[in-house]
Amino acid sequence: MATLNLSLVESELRKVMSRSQALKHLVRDRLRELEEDPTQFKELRVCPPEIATRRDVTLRKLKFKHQRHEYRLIVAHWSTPGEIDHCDALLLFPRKDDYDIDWEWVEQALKS
Amino acid sequence: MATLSKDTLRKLVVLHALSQWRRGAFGLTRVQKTLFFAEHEAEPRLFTFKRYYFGQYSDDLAPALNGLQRACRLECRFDGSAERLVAVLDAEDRDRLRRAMRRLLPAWCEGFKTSFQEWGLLKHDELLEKAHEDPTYTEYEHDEVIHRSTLRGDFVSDALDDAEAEWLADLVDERLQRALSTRFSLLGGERGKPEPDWESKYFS
Repeated sequence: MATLNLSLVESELRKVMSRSQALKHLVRDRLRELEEDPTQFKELRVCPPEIATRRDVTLRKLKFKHQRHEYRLIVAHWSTPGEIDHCDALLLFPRKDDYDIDWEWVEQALKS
Repeated sequence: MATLSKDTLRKLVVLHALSQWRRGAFGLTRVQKTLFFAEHEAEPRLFTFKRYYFGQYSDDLAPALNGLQRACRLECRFDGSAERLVAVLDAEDRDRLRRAMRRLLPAWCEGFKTSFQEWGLLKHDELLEKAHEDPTYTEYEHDEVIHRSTLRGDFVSDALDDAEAEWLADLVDERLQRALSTRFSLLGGERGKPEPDWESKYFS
């Protein structure tokens, strides 16, 4: 089990969920899975040095895909012996057709 | 089938090339020559090269190198007689990138292997002398194009799956590491405040 903090991606999350009810349900289900067991989600290999050197934090990646909508959520998974795990959502974004991250979308979401 | 943008592909190729010098590439001229001779006899040609003051030179390399710096994948070190261009990759990513490049651009990789052996480790004056004696220099005018890039738009390949293409794009993304650093710093080095009611807060 893990506790969650989604506040850092609130704008992006609300924008994603406004796309469709099906997507909203999918996101909720994935987050429930994250809450249940964060280790089931793949580690993100691309990791800034200040996070990579920490033994108590792992970056993990969740995928939300429904029809033509496809998004990634990156979370910091905190794990310390004797404490309940915790996940902070850090980034939420779609990709373009060439797999590049759509940073314009992220900027728009933060403005809205 | 996976698609990579032209800019992403160029950054990946340069990163892969730089990672072959164990201590980094001594000087940009060396990188220019090694990349030129890697692709001069092969397809696809990833960069447009022309004859310039120090020999075979591509304007396309600067954006790729600047992009790699922004992506935190290139360090320039000044601890000897020349600047060293060092790829920032751990051993696992270096091997994974090498395997991906072999699948994606097999002919280019063969060309690079030969070019690296022939040009990559020459002393600087030998490198310049040899480059200036090559027909690709002697038979061209100053500023004349020697060969043009055959890359037009995105690069499409069936040699990569989605997951691999996504990893490659993230590897050289110019904003991802900084964005993650910025967001992580907002936590102040500690776990964020748990939201036990996240379902009702965001999904009701």
